[in-house]
Amino acid sequence: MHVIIFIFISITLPEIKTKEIDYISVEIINEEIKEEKISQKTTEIKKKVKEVKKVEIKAPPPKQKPLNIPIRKENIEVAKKENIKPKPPQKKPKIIMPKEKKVEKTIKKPEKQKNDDFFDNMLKNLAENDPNPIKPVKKIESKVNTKPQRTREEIKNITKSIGDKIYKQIYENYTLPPAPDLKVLNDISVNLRIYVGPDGIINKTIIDKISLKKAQDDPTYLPYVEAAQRAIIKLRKFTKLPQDEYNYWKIIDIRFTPYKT
Amino acid sequence: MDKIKRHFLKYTFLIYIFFSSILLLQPNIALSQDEPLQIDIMGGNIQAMPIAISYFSIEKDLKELKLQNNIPNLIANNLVNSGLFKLLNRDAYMQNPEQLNSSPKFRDWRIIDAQALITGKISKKSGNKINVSVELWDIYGEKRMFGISLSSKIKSWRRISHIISDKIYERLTGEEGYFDTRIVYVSESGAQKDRIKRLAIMDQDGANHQYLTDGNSLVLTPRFSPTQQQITFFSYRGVNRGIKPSVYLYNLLTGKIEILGEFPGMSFSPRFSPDGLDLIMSLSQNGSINIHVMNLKNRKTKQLTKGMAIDTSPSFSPDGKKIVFNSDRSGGQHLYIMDKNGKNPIRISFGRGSYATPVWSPRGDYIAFTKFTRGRFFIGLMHPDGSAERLIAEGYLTEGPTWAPGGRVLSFFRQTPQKDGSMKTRLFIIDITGNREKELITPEDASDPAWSPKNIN
Repeated sequence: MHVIIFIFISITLPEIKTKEIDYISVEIINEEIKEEKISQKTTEIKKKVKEVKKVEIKAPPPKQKPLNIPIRKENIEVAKKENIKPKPPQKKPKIIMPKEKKVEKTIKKPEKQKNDDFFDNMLKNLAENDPNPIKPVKKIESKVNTKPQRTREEIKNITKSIGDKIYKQIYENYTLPPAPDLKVLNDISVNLRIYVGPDGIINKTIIDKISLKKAQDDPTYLPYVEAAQRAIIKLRKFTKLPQDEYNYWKIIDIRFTPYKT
Repeated sequence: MDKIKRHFLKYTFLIYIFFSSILLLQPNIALSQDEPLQIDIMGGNIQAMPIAISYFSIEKDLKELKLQNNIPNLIANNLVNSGLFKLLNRDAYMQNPEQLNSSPKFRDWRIIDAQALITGKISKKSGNKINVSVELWDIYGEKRMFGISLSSKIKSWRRISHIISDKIYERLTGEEGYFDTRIVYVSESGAQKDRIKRLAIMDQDGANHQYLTDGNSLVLTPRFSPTQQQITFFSYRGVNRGIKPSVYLYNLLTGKIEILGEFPGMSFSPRFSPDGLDLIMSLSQNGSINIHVMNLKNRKTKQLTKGMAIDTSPSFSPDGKKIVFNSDRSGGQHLYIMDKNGKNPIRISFGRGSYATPVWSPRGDYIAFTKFTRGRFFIGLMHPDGSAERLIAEGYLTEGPTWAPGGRVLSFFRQTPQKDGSMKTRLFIIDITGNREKELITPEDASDPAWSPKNIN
């Protein structure tokens, strides 16, 4: 897709083409400086470009979060339902809430920095009129700072460590259904999604639609779904999962593959 | 104006680059905290499913018959003998049969780790009949899995139990049950050199055992018809009257035995077609042995294989379109598949050793066979295309696989030399995983088992 758009733009922009746009190189920026006096309109555009470039520098944090928003909303909606039931201790929701705010703030964050005076002034004005909205921002920022951004590798290690603990606890409770068969069916794996409370209690189990449909249609598959469900019911609660990494294990997708083929 | 346009386009391009870089960062997002954690559970613990089978509640008038114990005991025997279930000790049950007339207290049953609970009620009906209602409960899922109610004469309580066992087995495993079935086999007695071989029939659990022939003549390879009304077998019974050893038909309803045609040579290895209308067998003629099919209505035969090779042990595929057999046409004894009209024979076995007695599973996905290699006999399985060959049982002489309905359990016989020089021949049951081998108890030595289709209600 990117390549197609790139080619399209390249073809439709003979100007750029002739100037050898080796992407956003310094050359282009220099050109902009030379042509400062062209017009006001162009300078406005330049400003925007500068802003854009700034965003690029600080890209990783803001980019991740805005894109997470839709996913987050889905998860939160379901997770909230789950969290309401057991009414987890107050401390634990706190872990979630700042992070949710973080998303909002980090969206604004780059804007604040980039819109220079205008946006800074606006904030200052707001602070003068009503200091309350600023306070939570500070709090959140401090929390953000306490939790430094993790590298992909770090996240991988965390999820692996949590995943191993979860795997072990589920596996201990998972007994294959009574079937005198090696199951030569193409796919007898069962997919479930579980919602876990901050206390480790499994609040809800949802069978994947495809698995559910298959169980309804195929009586030989049904025992595999039931065995997977049984494992979750027997387990009931996860233990030894890191509380401060709750967000990593609050929703778990489990794929049971009874026989290795 | 051109310059403005040029700059506008440049910056548009830069913006494009900016947004595309965001898109390129997406893989990182997949690892974010907000994505559900993905866990793959490969394999699982293999153990018999712990089940509780309560004694049934019963009307006072019937108590003396002890059906309230006998029926659940028979169901328990069937399920436990399959090797897939473990009966939990009844002393640990916290609810009695009367309390279980309503929904069970699941929590009480979870304490003893019951995964399923079977409860039942027996009531009297007119005409010396009983009604047996049974319910199966999912203890962890806290739901009723299924219920069944059967009425019959009191004397048929065993069949009622077998039918209920089948239904429970089917619900819990997803596979077809095989408890309401019978097995016909060759009962052996006497000295090794002067062996008496009789046809015998029994329920799959060994009950209701009876002999069908008197033992005056040797019998071999009995096979059930799909309707269960007839058994075909090979016998020497007419030899005294100058009749060559031949294939016979035994009518289970009338007890009559008839010869299936007199041929110039010996006829043997009979087996019914899936629709029961034809019978396939081997005929020896002029030193060669070929496969023939006989229409049971008009008794006309048609030769399917030709040549000087020994083609024998034919078995139809469940759809009746193919036939598997063994032949030495390529030198060694191997398995072949051909169309029902004898055309397009294809060799499917290529391993070392000799392959014999192939039997197509009722489900069509496997062919069971006997294999002799490195001085040992094995029972093996392979797919009809010859792939995935594996050996599931072995022994000094292990032979004659036969499929239970459902195609997931087999029976075979094994001869084992004894210290005193005699041979012990017994029937065994095994599932296709090669696990859960179990001896089928018979009054005497036993060989050549043939599993019946499901009983017709």
